[in-house]
Amino acid sequence: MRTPLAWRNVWHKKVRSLIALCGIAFAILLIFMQLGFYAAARTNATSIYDAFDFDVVVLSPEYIFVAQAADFPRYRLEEVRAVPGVESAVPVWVQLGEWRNPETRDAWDMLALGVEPEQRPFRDPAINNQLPLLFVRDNALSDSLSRPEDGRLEPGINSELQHHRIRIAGRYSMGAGFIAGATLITSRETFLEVFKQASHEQINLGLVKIAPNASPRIIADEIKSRVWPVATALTRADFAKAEQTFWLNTKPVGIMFTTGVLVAFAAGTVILYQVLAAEVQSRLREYATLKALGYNTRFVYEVIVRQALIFSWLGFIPAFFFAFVLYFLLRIEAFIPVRMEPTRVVAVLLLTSTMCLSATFLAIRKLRAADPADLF
Amino acid sequence: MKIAEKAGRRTEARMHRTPLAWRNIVHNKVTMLFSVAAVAFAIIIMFMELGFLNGLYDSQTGVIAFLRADLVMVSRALHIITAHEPFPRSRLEKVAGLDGVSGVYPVYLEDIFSRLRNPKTGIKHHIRVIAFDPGDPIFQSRRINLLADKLRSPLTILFDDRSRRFFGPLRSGMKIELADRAVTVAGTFRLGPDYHYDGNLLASADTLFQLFPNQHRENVFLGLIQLKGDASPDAVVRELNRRAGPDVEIMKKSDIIAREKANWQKTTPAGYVFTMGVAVGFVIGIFICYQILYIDISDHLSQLATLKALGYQNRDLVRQVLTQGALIGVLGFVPAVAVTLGLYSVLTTITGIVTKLTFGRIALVFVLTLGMCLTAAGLAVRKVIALDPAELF
Repeated sequence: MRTPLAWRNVWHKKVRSLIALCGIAFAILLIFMQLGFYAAARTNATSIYDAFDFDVVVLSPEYIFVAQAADFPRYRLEEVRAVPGVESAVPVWVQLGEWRNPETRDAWDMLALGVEPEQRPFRDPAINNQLPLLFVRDNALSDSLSRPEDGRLEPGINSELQHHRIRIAGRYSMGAGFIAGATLITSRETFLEVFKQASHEQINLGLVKIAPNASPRIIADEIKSRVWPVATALTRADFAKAEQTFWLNTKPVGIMFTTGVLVAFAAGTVILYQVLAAEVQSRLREYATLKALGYNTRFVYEVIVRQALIFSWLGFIPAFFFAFVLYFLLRIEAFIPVRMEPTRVVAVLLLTSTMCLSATFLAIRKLRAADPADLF
Repeated sequence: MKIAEKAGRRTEARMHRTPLAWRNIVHNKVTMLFSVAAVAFAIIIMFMELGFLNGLYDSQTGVIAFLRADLVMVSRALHIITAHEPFPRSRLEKVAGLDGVSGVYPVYLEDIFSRLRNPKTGIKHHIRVIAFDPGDPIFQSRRINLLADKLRSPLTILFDDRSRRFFGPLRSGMKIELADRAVTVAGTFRLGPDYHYDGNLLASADTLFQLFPNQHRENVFLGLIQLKGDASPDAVVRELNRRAGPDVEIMKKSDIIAREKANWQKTTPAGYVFTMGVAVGFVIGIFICYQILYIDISDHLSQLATLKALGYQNRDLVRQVLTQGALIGVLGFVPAVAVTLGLYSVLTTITGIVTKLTFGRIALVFVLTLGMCLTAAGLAVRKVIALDPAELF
């Protein structure tokens, strides 16, 4: 049986291999963290709309993002309902307000969503089933994933939104951390009393559901042609994309995270290259000896590539577990909704292997030039 | 005598000694470029993450730094300056005549109903309006204090040139739409956006009350207190806090800036994320630097063994490796600072957030760089110590 040369090489100098592995693991960890932040900002951008049940959204052409959603006349929804293929169109009011933390009395931003409870506009039946509670005036549902600055938002708590009394009657979990510290769902009546400038006749969003076999894109175009220029319509997919683009490419936080991912990739490649080049370099004499003994170049390359893969996979395992723990800490401590998604794990593993291989090929050039005779 | 002679010879030898560490680095130009670039990379990571963090703090406290005041009066309910907690103007007037106070100036703020229409695209964006009485010298910059005089005519504003670009290019003399009313741009100033506000306008208090009926002269957002030259700020703060009333709080300007920073650190994920980024950059730097030194030592193993055989002590070789590590750090640092300056200006163009590279921040990263390179050298030097000349020949 053949000697497992690549494996033995890894185990040969344990301290040195350990340092190399730490380097690789750190590079992978950095990539995991930055991708996690980026993905969190991405999913967070649409977390509010993900909770609503709609295929096409009608909104003002002046809409910027969820906390700056301009309004349009409600009666336009009648024209939307007349479009063939539209099953329902329900209004939603959205406004950023100030919520007083019931414990500290400090005021913090809170995104309020005003809905008509009888329309059941949410995807999650758990939210829809609690909506009847909102028929009582000044009642609201609170997000259990709100940031801690807003206080303990448990059912039964009384506090103020825009200096108007609000009673928490139920809870749901949405988590909109980056966008607004917290969200609150109220009935239309309560919403209009809290926000004096809001009006029954001016709505922020129209949520449209379409017939099962209809095409959202065609219906969105049809709606747009009827309500433009007072309002516009987007399919769910386009709307999500626009919202994500806004958060990642326009808002400073998103731009920082996007930059972070680029930096992580570049740094990861540099580290992996350094580690593997050092490995090849320090064993150059041994490889040359193999060549002198009559092993062909192909065999030597195979050993090096196998060694690189062993290194990258060995580095991947601790990086994965550390990232897992750090994601957990970030969720609990910093309320950043990062999760270990299987696609990300696979992508990072593939990426690391590719980076390791390309680093190896760069490092191998040195070996090709190595003439056994030179080395002794 | 003998000892002195020996010492003399030693210093002489040290002075004439070949700068081995330096020669080693510059020996192979391509490898050197690669190594310096790799180290510079780690340094740039630290600079960038630190820059994100400082950009957050600098921009968030920018408006306070922009205003001239020794002390600031705010509502006790105001815990962060993006909240809306005005206080009665009488509180500010009450302290105007107290010992040591040379002037008190109310500042008003509107950011809810203040939507500014981009004249080109027609889209309205929220903008922060800072209002004051045009005669009050409330700005650090003399130029803006003079410019503020133009705000005496009704419905005129000054536009912050550094505001996000989506407000459109607004020049002096243009008529624009603010809160559904026509206003005239009387001039521009430079403050810059932050993570919360995209841009700023300056207006007279009268213009503000005309545009926004929800605003009232009695509801002051920020009270600026300027002191006489000989007054001790700490003593005045104590006295004013005792006299002003229970619903307001008087702080030194530096204290409210520190409080804002602490607030943003605590309440946004950004603090966590970017501090972690700096730490990761540091550790990555150690690994990169270690690898570079390790390759170099492996490359020169026979030379090092020769030096040892010639009678060089471990101590000399250790010093040589540490010097080499520090040199790589310094060499990487210079291009890293240059690249960082470029990247900062790119980020400023995209986000509008100004990241300043102060001397203190450069010094901090320099110390971190030396720390990371010397740690790496310390790790790599073990191989030199373990080297046995006999083995190599």
